[in-house]
Amino acid sequence: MKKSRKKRLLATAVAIAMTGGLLAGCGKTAQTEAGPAGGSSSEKSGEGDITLAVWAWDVALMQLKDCAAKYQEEHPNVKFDFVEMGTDQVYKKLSTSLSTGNGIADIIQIEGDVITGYEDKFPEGFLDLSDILTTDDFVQSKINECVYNGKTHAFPWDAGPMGFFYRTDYFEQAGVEAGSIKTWDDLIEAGKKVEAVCKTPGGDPVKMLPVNPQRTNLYTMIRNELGTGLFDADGKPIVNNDNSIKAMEKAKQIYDSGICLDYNGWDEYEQCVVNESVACIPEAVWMIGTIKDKSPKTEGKWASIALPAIDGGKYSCNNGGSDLAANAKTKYPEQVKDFIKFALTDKELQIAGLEKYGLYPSYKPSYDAKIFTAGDPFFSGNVYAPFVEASNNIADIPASPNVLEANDEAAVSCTQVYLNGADVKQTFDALQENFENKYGH
Amino acid sequence: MKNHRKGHLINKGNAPYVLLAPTILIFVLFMIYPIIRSLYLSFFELKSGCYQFVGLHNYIVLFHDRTFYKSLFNTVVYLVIQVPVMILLALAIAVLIEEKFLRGKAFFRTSVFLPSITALVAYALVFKVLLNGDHGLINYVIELFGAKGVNWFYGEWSARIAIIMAITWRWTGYNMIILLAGIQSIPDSLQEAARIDGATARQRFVYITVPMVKQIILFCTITSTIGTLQLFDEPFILTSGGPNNATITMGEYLYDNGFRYLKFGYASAIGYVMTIIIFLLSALQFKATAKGDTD
Amino acid sequence: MNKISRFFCYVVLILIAFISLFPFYFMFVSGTNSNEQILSIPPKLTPGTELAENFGILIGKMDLFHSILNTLIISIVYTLFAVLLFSAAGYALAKFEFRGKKLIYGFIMGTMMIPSLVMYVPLFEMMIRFNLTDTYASVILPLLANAFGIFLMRQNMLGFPSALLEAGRIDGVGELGLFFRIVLPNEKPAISALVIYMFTSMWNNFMWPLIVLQSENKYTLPIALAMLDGNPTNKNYAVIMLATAIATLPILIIFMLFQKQFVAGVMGGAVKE
Repeated sequence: MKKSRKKRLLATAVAIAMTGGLLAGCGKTAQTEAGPAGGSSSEKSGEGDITLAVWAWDVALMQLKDCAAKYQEEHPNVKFDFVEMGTDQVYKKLSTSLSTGNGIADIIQIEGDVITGYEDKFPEGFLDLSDILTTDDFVQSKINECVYNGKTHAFPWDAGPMGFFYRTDYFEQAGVEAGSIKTWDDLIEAGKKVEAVCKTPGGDPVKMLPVNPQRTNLYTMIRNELGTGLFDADGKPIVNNDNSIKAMEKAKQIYDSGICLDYNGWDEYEQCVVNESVACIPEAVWMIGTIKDKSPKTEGKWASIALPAIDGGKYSCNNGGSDLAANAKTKYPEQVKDFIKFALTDKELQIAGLEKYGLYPSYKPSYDAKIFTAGDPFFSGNVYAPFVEASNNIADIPASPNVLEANDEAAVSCTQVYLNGADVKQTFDALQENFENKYGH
Repeated sequence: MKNHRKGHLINKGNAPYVLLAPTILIFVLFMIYPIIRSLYLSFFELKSGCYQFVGLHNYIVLFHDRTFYKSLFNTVVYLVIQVPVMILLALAIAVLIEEKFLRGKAFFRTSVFLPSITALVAYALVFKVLLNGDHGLINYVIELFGAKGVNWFYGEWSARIAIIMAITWRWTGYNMIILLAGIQSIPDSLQEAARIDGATARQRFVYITVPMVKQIILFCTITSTIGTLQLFDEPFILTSGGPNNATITMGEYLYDNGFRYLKFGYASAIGYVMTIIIFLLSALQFKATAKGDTD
Repeated sequence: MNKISRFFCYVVLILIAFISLFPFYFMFVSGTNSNEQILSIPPKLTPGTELAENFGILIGKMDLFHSILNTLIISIVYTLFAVLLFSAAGYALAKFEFRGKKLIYGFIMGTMMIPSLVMYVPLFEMMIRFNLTDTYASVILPLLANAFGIFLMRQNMLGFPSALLEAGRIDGVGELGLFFRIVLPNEKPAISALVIYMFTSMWNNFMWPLIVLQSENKYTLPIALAMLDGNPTNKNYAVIMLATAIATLPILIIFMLFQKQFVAGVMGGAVKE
């Protein structure tokens, strides 16, 4: 027995040494992998057909198809291979394959809040797009997502400035003046009136707003109004600072006031619109599409204003929106860049994307289009007005590679506060300690 | 002729090595290498595209990581509640199916076993629809009986129960088949003799069936324990670990760290702590039964 | 047993069988109903008329033919290799005494304790190095390191009569001949159990194929299924259930065909030792 154990140890030692040898090639693999890409660059100026693989999902995919069709009018030799990949699939693939560029599409749609994490772990994974991006032309919060450590790893696409959708009919019944809702406290007061008076088509009392008590949305929204993120500019966690605590206290006050409708997951969120069970939805501009899609019978009954504010909060918020990144090992870097730039800075395409699919451009020169002053006939008033204003006033929140994980953890803290009645200060002190353990200083 | 030549080349002495060689090659390549490599990675972290040596840092962080403790707690909850319930249920079903008078044995056996061959993605999706709080069939049935429907995925315990129900549905039949095998191997004469001596069904179960299939119960318990400790799929699809991390398992936390947060080193460290826990628990179960034998 | 307890016994078993089978029924029936009908309260539980329409949407959304073909090829090749490798290994571990046997067997069994998730990153790196990503081989090869299959075969082979082997040796049958011509033909139940076990585990496997398969026309059914479900907006449960039913059907058929041998094989595996 003893002997075999010794042998086993020896074998282990040898094997570790071997794997160590393999590991030493960390920087090298990237270079050798880059070989074929460089080799094929001779095709750059060639006349031959090329095919660019594109990963995107949902409406963004449809919009990219439209862009491709228009692009091909000028560039008939460029073909596209579109694959619909949901976010989960994209991320699973990226996390295993990004280090090699192997098996990843040339152009990839990525959500703005996670892209920094990939760039941080795999700085050689995405193509540097600095030479095609004019930063002044884009909303600042999107530039924060797309530039990290001095490199432009993605090109800003749709933004998600937030506003406050409300049901004009419910407000009228309850005698609530939308313009009077300036703060979250006003919202609570109005919510009580609405619930007392209004009934859904199904006969239940109408709730003021949907909240997922297992997510950070409401807390994040209020915290961003105060101009604070989960991390400061040096990457230090700051979840128990005054702004963060204040935001969570307010979120808890709103939740505890009883005006909220619980939901869990996207399906149920949509159901709030379908069943007409809420009077308001504080959400990003892309919610316009969902409201129109899911509840066509409420045409004319929705309008929008700015988000309620918290005292001391001077900013607006952004939620969601994605960017386009390119695979650094693409065979056709020039064509990829050319297409991305075309697709995301062609004013007509940007406006068409907004009209057809609700993709709100972050490309500022497109904001002078008529649609932003005319609004959408489905809504009463100019539905876009509050969002245009919001997009110019979004806090400059530093990007962090740990934001995905940190947000998961913060969601747990929110759940404890909302559902278990935990003390805000204690919960967020514990969260801070947890972050300090994980992310150091 | 041919046989004779082969006899020279491969004889009784080297035959087992020849027979095992391809399997060993596969295991060395696709098991030993990854095991060592991930052990190695657990001392590293991916930073700016390169693995950097961080020593024991991942393990130190892990021992202070409250989410990890929560995932450990949940896993233990599943283990302590689900495994005994499932094994007992499986044993009870196996005994019932083996009853002499029963007709349609094959039908019952097949029905109970079928869940274990379904694709995970498929069964998780079906359960997601069935357990839906508003329009799920399970709540509809509960409400038919006059009780209040449960918002399964909101409460910490109700979410855990939902997961336990799903796992039990899927794996009871699998263990039942194995236990059935054990029960069938008990000589009929033994049961017959007991019956003649006037033993009741319950007495026969306690004094004959259980002791005779003890080894198989142990086998089922250990494999189920290992399976539960590595549990990933069900919470991943049904609850994503929520609410308040009440259903997150060690496996899911490992997945999150490795494939969502891109912390492969940390994920490997979790994997190794899991392996140690699994090893200790399996050893404990062996010991406990071995001790029972000598008593 | 008296009549009442017999009756009670039937009631319990029928209830359990019902609970076991109902999700299957729900899956198949939902594939013929519309999304709204599934989401209504209570959901519609009788076969509907939407099958053709759901199927139309389904084939528009996923490459059903390729997914089935891919899954079938991968599962069959994997099962063939597994049967050959594991029955040889099981036979060697059950019927021979040799140096290192305990160590090898102990190691193989020990690997069951290691969570497979933790090995995916190194395995994926390896597949890249071998230039195997996006091939059937990359799905099949690593998953052949499966301890349970070896365990199952070893347990079954333990009971193989040694006298039969000795008789063969006396007749001058070579060692490989013994294995192929005497052992394998006599272990049909064990092999059937292994076939079903390996085939279903590959047919249903999700994580590993998802990681190594990259082009859409290589996707297996579970990946294609998850892609259908992956999109959070505009989920069509009817189409998802139909796809699920299609993915489950072949496994059900195979199980029904082989179940007698399968049950015998599992039993052989568990009883000994």
